[in-house]
Amino acid sequence: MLPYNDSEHLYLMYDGPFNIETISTLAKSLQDNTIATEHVRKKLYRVFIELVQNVALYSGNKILLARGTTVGKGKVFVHYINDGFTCTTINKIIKEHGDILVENCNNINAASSEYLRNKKKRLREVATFQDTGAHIGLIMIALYSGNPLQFEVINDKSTGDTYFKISASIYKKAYK
Amino acid sequence: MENLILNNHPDQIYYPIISFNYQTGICDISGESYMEETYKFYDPIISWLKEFILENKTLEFNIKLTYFNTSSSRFISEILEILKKYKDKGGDVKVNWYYKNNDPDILNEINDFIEETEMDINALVF
Repeated sequence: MLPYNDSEHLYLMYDGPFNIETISTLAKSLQDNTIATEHVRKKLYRVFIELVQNVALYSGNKILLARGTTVGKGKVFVHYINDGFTCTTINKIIKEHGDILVENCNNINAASSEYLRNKKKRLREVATFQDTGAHIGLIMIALYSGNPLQFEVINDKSTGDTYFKISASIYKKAYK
Repeated sequence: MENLILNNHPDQIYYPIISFNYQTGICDISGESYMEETYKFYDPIISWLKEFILENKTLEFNIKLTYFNTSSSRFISEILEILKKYKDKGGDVKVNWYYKNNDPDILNEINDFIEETEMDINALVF
């Protein structure tokens, strides 16, 4: 996995609140301007939105917007590599949630796509109406990208804060 | 009962376009769906459908969504479940889902919704 601050391969980066207008603008730019097949660009678009909406909903660092709603803050990086793209988000989390996220991601990576599709259906059935994310965003990221999630819990010893970093890669040659 | 028309602003592509016609029973949802506070958008849509099927009219539900996030998918599932119940009670209802032939992810989603809701969906390439 590329380091997220690798500027040579960096295509896009953003650090701030993930309000819907920002998400939409960045995602549309990615879809319209990246050089890849329509299929790959669609996958990149969907993975990007699912990743950053997870930050918007679940980041431990929230910002109050002028319209009175709060939204999560974090960072997103999109790296362009010869054979595809890697989207990475980093956001603050509650320390105790780190182990749960790691377990969820490990379970997703260990599962087949068929199992993940069935799990998605089961989770969607039990989600409540006002559930903000239906808790299946990580599964969808894995299904859209077709690759294992790459993830890491980062403990900042200087501040005591905990962050979750997650990446998903989409390879061009897999989707000609 | 009035038609339900919701047109999105060009800068707000995260809202789908809604065109539900009470007279013809043709209901279209198209575009993309990944707004904040999803339930606020879908609640009136679900209420309209529930009211409409009480009149036992023919209903054609056309979906032309090219992307929807996980939160929106919960409401799409709810809509399909409402239509399935209507059909099971003898309602005349047809669901068409239009997708591009180079978009297998959407076709997978359609098939998953069919299994999940047991509602017949005609997957049509456009």
